[in-house]
Amino acid sequence: MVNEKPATNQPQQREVVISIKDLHKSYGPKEVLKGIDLDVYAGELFGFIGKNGVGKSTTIDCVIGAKKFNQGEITLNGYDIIQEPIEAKYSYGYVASEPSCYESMTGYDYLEFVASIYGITEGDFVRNYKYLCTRLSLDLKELANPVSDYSHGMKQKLCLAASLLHNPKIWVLDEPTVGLDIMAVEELKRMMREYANHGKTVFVTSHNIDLVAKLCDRVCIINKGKIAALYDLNREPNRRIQLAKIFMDIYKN
Amino acid sequence: MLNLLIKDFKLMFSSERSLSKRIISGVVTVLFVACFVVLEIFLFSAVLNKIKDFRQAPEAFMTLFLAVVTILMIVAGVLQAKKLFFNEKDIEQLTRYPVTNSQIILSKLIFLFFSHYATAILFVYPLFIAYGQTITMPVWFYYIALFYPVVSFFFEMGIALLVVYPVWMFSQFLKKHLLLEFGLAMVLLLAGTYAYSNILSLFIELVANNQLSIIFSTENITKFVGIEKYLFPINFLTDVFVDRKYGSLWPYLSMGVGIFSLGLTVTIFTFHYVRNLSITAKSRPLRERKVKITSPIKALIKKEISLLTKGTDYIFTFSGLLIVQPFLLFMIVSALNTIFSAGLFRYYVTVVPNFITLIDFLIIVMFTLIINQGANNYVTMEERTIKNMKTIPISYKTQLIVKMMIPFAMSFASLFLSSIVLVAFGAVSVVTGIMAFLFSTVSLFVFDVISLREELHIRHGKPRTTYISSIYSYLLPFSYVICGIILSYLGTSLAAIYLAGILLIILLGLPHLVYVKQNMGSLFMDLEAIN
Repeated sequence: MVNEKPATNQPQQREVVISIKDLHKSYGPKEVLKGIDLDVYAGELFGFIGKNGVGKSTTIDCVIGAKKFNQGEITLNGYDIIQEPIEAKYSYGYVASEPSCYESMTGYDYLEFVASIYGITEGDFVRNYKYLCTRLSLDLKELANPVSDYSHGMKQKLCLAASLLHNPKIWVLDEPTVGLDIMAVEELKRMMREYANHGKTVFVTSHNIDLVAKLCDRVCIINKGKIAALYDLNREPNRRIQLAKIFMDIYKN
Repeated sequence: MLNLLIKDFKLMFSSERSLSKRIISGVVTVLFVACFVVLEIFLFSAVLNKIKDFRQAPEAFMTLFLAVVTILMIVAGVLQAKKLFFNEKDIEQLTRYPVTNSQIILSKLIFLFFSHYATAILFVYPLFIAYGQTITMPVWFYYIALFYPVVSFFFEMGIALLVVYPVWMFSQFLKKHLLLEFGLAMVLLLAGTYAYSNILSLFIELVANNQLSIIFSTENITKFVGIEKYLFPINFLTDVFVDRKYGSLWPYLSMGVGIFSLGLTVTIFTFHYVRNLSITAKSRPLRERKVKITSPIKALIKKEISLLTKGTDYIFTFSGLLIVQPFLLFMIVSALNTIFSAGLFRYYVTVVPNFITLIDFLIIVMFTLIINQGANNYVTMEERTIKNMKTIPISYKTQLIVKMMIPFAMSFASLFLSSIVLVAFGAVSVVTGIMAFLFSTVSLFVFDVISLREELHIRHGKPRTTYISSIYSYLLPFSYVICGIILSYLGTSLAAIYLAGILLIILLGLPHLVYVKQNMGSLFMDLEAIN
């Protein structure tokens, strides 16, 4: 099953925020991505799913400029990730599946570091970090402790808060729910939805099909380095209900 | 329980290195141990040969050597017990398995016993052999010496177990108080340097004035024999294993088993406590602090400094050594100058002009490079935060230059201060001081560029290969000085040798600089985050 029914009738006026054109990526002789074409729009919550080893994380790494690719073009907020990497990187906030914060710093130092890198003003920083930490139930007192003392979930919450400090236009989340408790997952889902509702773009990968089916506006399933299916779940509500089955069918075939 | 034991062996000895590197590391370790044992036997035999005719003196020296080994074994035991009983990851893993505390503790004790036996036999048995050969002991002596580590286990490991928990608590406390940790490291390093300077001065005085023989005067040996009775309880062991006074075994064993039982009880309770209660720190109260949003470059510098000071390793191998470098260099250079200006050396040195100067030069260069080696793990120290480096909106060039320049600037400052101290106090001439400073600065830069090149080649979570940087930090300065000595012997002026050296290091470093400049971006993008 390839491109069962791609959503082709997107309104022309929608702003393309993430654009991937003919993306090819190989690891030595092994071709992992074999020509991915994808546009993600402003104000949408986009789900990018697939089973392990089909090129999901490689695609994300190419999109955020963490990996080179052999062929193709990626633009974020209109900036080419190869030609204008700095401008492109200002456009997104990224959360990896494994927390990647500096363990030698305290939580507060880490947030200050991120704020300094993105050139956030002191007023915005104080307002944003307090708001984000409260939303994510990250105890402000804990921020005075070294990150090395944090649990996996706390580190992930810190990374989530850090990724939104500069209020990016695009929020990229790679398996963000790993290690989070059920309350944090629910709050994160609400935050993702609100973010998209405010005209920003949320690009999320997850193994949790239920989360993607319930939350996302559009979803893309990747298989064998290509887009196997792309659905607008708002226009095709049946797909939302059947997403798990569709997912299974794609990999059975 | 056997599985637990095997797991501890694997944890203690396994590494992620390749087989060839493990073999090389194994050979280096064996050579190092062999050198230590040879030195130990050489010193011990030399002393025994000088004093064997004095009554009670060989036994007293045997007791002294055994006392030194005992102290070393206790220190090693504390470190090993800390790693065995209070390894947080191990504790976390074990909580998931259906094993009881008794099984865990018993398996760890068995491991501790075998490792103690192996280490003790390695360092103690050669002493017994040397003693037996010099004093001509019967066969039984060599046989019962094999049981020495078994008997000493209770006392030595008892003390180790008794103090391991406070030591672990203290290390946990230090981890959370960086300034205190740094201060303590400084105190230890300065104390070590001070002790080293005193021993070196004493040795130099004895060598320079040909007074080594006065150590073994009758008066000194008599005094020393008197000290033996204070080396409690090691003198009990000498009674048992050397003098065949088996009656001394029981008081020693009783005391050893008593201390061991006490230590074991404390360890069982504390292990149980640590295993079952949270080992994470309690939250500190959030104090209102001024928000410090800085420029991106300042933030990167701050981050690098936090990475460089994050662990005891960096504090001891880099920051601490940088601070004591001027003092240490001055002492070593002065000591070498004194040694080479006395006795037979004076004659040899006059044959080869500039020999002392070039050796001083070599010491300054090698010291600078070796200390810098403790901080140029630019990529390794990032671990999984490599991805942060790739996603923040700062160019990779800026990030890597900041990474490289921080340790370089710190080493440069210490080198500058060292050069001033050496010249100001007359340890080296002004020309040598300036040339050593220039040569070391260029070498330092080239060494850091090569280290960056090696770091950027790290793939698949494997450790960095350090062949080229090792050649530049050890082999190159050494070969250069050897060539310099030969050229000096052939009549080349010192200024020409220095200038040729600086030119040589620039020429050899340029290809690396060009390579890094051209490939930095591509290599950086190929770096993988360690998950």
